[in-house]
Amino acid sequence: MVGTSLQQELNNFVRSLREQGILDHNFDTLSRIQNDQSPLFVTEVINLFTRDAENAITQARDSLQEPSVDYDKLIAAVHQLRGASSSIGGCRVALACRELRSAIDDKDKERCNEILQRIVEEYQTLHVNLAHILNLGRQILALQRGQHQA
Amino acid sequence: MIGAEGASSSKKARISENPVSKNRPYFALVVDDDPMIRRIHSMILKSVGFKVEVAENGKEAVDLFRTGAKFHIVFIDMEMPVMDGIEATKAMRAMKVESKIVGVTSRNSETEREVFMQAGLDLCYTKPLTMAKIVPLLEELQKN
Repeated sequence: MVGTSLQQELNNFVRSLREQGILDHNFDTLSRIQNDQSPLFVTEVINLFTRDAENAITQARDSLQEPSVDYDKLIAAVHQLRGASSSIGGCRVALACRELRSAIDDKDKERCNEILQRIVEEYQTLHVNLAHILNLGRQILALQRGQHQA
Repeated sequence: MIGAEGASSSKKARISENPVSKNRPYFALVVDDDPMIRRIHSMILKSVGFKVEVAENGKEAVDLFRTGAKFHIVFIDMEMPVMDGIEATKAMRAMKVESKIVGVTSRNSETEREVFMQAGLDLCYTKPLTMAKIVPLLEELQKN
């Protein structure tokens, strides 16, 4: 059945992301607790994460571009991004945030910029893969709804 | 469908005087300014049987207790606008709130966490909340 094979495709895709270290077990938790009462839970979380992450990255970038770096604002942005990414299972982004915090503590602007660039790259990788997960999820949901109506 | 967690903390059934009863569910309060974190933590807690309310900042949480709400456990973020987790925890303890208060933070500096603990937390966890962190807390509530 198409629905089963789509679900299998999704499962395999998430497993491959786990194997690549792009996602960790926290994403599996989100998938497991999604239920009939909240069938769009993972979709909502991914969309909220995208908004949070992009705001945090913008804030971090703005902080570093100021003539006198606002390290407090930068710390707040990094911690927001770290919390959001670790909650969704985006372990590489979370790890890079931890490194950025260390660079901030050293007040090393150059290193901060380098690590922020890496965070942006890791986030973009995560974002593309989460978009694919969303796409597969939408197809599965559409099929399920079609089957219920039939 | 967002689910009950999406509503603001201003709505809410008030919990009766004795929430700690074997025949009643356990009530949790999730305090975080990030809607994503509120959503995730609420769903995880609901999945193990908690009834969950949410607050967007420390002041909302304190106001809930002021109006007579009772919770078995509070999960509270450290950094929030209006009133942060440290100030809110101090305020709740000053009000003699006996709920277990668990800090949940992205900060991993020992100094920062210690300041949070000193405000009156029972525990402090690094985000995210996981089943492995929540289930022992629920078991402890059930034992007591």
